[in-house]
Amino acid sequence: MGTALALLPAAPALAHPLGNFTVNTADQVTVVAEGVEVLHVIDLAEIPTVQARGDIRAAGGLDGFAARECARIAPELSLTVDGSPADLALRATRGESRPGSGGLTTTRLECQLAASTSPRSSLAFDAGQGDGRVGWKEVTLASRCGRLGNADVPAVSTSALLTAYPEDLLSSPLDVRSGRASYSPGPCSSAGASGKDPIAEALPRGVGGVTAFFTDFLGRDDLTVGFAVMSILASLAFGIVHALAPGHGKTVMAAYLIGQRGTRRQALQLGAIVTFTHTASVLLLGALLTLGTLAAPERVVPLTEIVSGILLASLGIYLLVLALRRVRSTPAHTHDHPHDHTHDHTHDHTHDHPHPHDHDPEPAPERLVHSHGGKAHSHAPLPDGPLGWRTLAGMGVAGGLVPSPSALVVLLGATALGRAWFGVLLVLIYGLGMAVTLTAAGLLLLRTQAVIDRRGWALGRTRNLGRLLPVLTAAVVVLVGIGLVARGIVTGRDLL
Amino acid sequence: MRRGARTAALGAAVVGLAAALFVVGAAAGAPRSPQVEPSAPAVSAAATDPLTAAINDLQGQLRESPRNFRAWSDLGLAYVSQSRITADPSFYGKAEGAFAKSLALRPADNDAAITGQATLAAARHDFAEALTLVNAALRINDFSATAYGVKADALTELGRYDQAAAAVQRMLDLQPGTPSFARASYQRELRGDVAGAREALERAAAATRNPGDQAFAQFYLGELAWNAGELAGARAAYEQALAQDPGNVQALAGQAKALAVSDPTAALALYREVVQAQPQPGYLIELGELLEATGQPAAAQEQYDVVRATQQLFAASGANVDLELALFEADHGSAATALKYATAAFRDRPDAILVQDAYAWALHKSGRSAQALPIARKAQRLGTRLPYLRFHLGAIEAAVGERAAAKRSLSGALDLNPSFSPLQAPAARKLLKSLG
Repeated sequence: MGTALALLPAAPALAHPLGNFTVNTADQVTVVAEGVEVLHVIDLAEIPTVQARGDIRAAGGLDGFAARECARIAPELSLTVDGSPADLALRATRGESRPGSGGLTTTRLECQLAASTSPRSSLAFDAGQGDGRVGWKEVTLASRCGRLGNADVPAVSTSALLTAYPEDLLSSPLDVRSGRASYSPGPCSSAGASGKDPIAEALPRGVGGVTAFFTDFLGRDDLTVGFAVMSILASLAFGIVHALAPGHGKTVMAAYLIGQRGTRRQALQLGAIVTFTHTASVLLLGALLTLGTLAAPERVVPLTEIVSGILLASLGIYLLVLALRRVRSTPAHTHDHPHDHTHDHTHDHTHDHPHPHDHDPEPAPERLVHSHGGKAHSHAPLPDGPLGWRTLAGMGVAGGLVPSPSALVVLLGATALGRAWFGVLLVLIYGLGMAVTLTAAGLLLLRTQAVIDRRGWALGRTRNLGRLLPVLTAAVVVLVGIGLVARGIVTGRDLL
Repeated sequence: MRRGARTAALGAAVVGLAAALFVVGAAAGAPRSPQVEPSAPAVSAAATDPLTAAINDLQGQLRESPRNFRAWSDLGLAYVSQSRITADPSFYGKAEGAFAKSLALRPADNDAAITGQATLAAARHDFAEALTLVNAALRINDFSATAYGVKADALTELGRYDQAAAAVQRMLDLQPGTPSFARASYQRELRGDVAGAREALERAAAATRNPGDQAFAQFYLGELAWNAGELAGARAAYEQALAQDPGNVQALAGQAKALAVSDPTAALALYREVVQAQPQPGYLIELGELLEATGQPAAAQEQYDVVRATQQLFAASGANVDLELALFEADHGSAATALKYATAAFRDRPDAILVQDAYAWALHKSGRSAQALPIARKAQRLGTRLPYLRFHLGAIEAAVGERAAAKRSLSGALDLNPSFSPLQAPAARKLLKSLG
């Protein structure tokens, strides 16, 4: 029930999600090599923006206003490093106007502050009491150098730094004005880079909604049985939905291939491989990020995309070659049955196959119909052989390799809250959800194929289509693979 | 077993908080004065206010047991109150969702959710709809004081004062307490019975231990004193409200209003604090008028611009434009726009005295004073002792040449409170002088 609620898409924003009166703030505190950085973000809803008009004019524009406001607020922000106050200096400010409701605008101000003191044992931040205006108040603590422990606030902003507020009926604005954590020094994950959240960096844009829901969920104090069950169900649902999301063409493709010529067991195997690969991928990346040993977290996701793309493209080429060869070798006869048993054809698919199969080039159907165990069936007239184990594994790995950003966030969120084990469980369930979609799609297609086969016997055209389909499928797999590689390279290059 | 106990404790806490909420929400349902919009005043915007706490609790409870239809309707009520506090219509959507959820979980005999929907309709100023809904709720449960409170509010706003008084009486019989005493006080005030209104409010204050509710009652005692020209009494009451509930924006605005008489500069500073915390149209208009009266028209315009932005947002979200905005347009904007708003309100509820007053005033400002006169006189039929009602009537009478009547009305307004408004009181005096 609650899950269904949270899964509803956010309605188009007619009004400021938190009310037209609100003044919202977020403080992102990050330990960096040079000390500690604080990003103080202010989001003025429509009415406060109108109220500030005079001040904005007086300050000579939004940037001037941002500079003035940041200077006014800076003394109220207090950072405590190892128990003693650290000097926060204002480094940069920025003001920006955004469209709001009723033809009005909202205002976003960013104040970048930094302290040159590096913590050794603890870190605390207090944003002060503010001016008493209603609104979302949020503090996050994160580290790119060393580790934070026992933090009483999350490492990742629930509102994506005041850009994506949770929208369900049960959400209330946060009112967190301070945060503290213990600290143990360690190597820096991204030396010299400034003011950015390494985790946010590692993720593609637009993770907002789901993430906010999950971290909000995990942040609750009482981990009751009902709540845990609900989280697990939610994870499962998110995984299921995630596998259907765009970008998962490859995994659906794998399912489709199974539907074309696989078996039930293979569909289940694919699911298992996807779950395993995805969980492993998320856990590994999560571990690397948490330990802060990753040199360039922002390049991880593009890299996995490239690897997954190459894998997929090679598989596609192999399948294409195979399918084309078959089209040529089985000129007229097609007569495919849904296959409910496994064939252990093992193909070495990274290389060329001079002689792939032992099928008779011009088989006489009557001769090939035989029976073992009482059931009569036909072997040879299949337009394509059943999927090989390695092909299947390749597909599964390709499908699970790219870590899902939301799963990663859940894991890191849970870790930040001291519930790493629960995060791992949720990630596992998430992968399982993805697997369910793929397996279900595979089984569904398997079924559909069976129906088509039964009816299609009479139709000459379907026979031809059935013959060409594997070629087309293989070609699409190649294209999807190349597309992934290209996307990975483009995104990766942007970040270099 | 422990879990059961915990749930029971939580349930009890929620019921308690819901009851507290109702006091606030219900009492706030009765608009006391057109200058200040009805809002749940008892709760300050601070982080630890009881309303936010109640909302958090209800949300927590619903996350664990999302099928609790009662909690959903309580949460809806809390959201309505939240909307009132911030005068921000965007919370209404959530309230609507919560009531719908409650009704979906329990479609039959769910009078609490229907009463909630009625409260929401009233908050959106759709009083006819509110009345229809609350009557439906009362058919299910005729013993709900809450529902009778909403019914009284809707009837009052529709100008059906006798029926409203009966509903308040029924509410008092069912549950004598702060919400019912506060409503009784308003009925008496409308009829010009200031002493009776005061007595009822004192009982309302005595009937609660909640500081927010006490501040609410104190604030309206201050308003009664202000409208009767008892400056010292008004100040003392606003002080008292602030002592009960520090940071109570409504009481702060009352203080600023009273301070403006003797120390406009200090009053302006206080008003700036008020609109900084809660930029509601009523406060912005008061600040703008004080700025105008102290010779700062440009600064006044800035405040009026914020009022217009609020108007824009109301229009965008489909909410009814308030009467106070019609009066605002008549006094500081376009008479045509004012007439448009007031005509719409008059079509909906022609018998309500505050609607009649706003309509007459907009007609007068549009140069149709003769047409305005009988309507302005009707607005006085209960004998309500509000200075600005008498000022409006006097100005209209003067415009149509009824000098004697005009002099009586204008001096009547000034007799009630010689400084009832920084702009209108001097205007009344000037007009009175010109009449000889």
